[in-house]
Amino acid sequence: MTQPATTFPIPHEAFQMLEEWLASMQVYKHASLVLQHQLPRSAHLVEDSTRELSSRFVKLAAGANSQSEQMNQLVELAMSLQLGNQRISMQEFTELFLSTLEGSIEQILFVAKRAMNMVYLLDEAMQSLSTIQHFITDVQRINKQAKLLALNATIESARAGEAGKGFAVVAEEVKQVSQQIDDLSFSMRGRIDTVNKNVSGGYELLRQIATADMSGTMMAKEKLDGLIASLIERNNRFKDVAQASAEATQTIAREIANIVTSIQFQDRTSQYIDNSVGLLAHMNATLEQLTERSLDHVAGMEPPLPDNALAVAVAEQFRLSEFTQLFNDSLAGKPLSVVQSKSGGDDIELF
Amino acid sequence: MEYSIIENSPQQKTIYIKGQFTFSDSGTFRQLLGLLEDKKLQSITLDFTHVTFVDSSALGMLLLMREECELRHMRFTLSHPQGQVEKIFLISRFDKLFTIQH
Repeated sequence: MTQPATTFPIPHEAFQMLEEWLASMQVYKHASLVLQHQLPRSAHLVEDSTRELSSRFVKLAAGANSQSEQMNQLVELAMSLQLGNQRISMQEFTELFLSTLEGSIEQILFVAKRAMNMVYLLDEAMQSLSTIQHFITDVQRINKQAKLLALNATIESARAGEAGKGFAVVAEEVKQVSQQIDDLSFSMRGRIDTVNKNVSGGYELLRQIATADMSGTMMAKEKLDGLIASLIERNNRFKDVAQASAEATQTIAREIANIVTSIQFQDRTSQYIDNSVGLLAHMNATLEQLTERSLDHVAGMEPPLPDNALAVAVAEQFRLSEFTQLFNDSLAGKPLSVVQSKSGGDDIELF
Repeated sequence: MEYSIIENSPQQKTIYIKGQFTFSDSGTFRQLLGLLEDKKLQSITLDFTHVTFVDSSALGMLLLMREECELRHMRFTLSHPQGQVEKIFLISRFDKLFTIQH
């Protein structure tokens, strides 16, 4: 082989040391190639996991947000009621309910007062009827006397003979009138008895109305007041719990958003790896040039072979068999592809 | 129910009633309404300390008495309702219609 004009001899010890250097560089060149091959792969792994994590967290955040919204709807529902096609608040419901109750109690009192008023009016009517009955008894008693008088008059007129004949006619008429009065008072008594019976029936009805005691119904108001109060209390507590829950869910959603943002900074990891790979490539190129120059300029220098002992020592540094395999392949002259990491994270959806 | 009348002055009477006050006392209460005919009387108090129960017709009778007193410009007071009676006066908002002494 022809030596270039610039070759120069170097001392034997220096030659040996240089040879050792070059053999070592061969080993590190292959180690560096393994790293250049593997580092971008780990960047891909990080990126894929990040994308996966990120999309799951985005879903989680969306879930938390919709949960929080549902909680707020629940709160709104709890605090209002549907009445026909109108929504009324619990407050309005309570007021409506209590005023309805008070209205019905007023009605009960109104009816009770009127019923008692009627009772007293009927009392008076019955007293009047009883007075009328006494009057009729008096009339009948007087009429009886009139009848007796007519009978006496008839007897006396018979005794007077012809002279008493006209008198007998009058006595007969008096008897007839008495009979008519008797009939009339009898029928009046009958009528009054009927009226009396009807009034008594009315009184009994009224008694039933007034004694259909409403006080139990009225006392129910106390229980209903208590029920309403406890309903409102329960609703308020429910509202508080639901609101707290909605707030907690919102906090979770915010935290998740922060996590997603943090995760998306994996982009830096890619950049670090790109940098490192670049540096390693540059180092290799430089070492290659240095080796070339040594071969060119040092007389008698042969292309170096990797230092076997060092290669074994370096191989031991790789903990993963995949790395060891790649390193050995590279030493054996098998080319390793150098994968470029995807630069930038702009395809990752940011919040 | 039973009742007793204490005449504090010719113008003022207090009626103490006792027991349950229900529809069956309408006759007895009529006697109390009769007291209002006294022209000298200016103020009347019904004491409920010993009344254990009133029904709605009793409330009706009290409302009638209130009306009669108003017609005569007479003061009408209900005093010392207890237990169920106090509760039912409260529920009926009698405090708005009557002077109630506790």
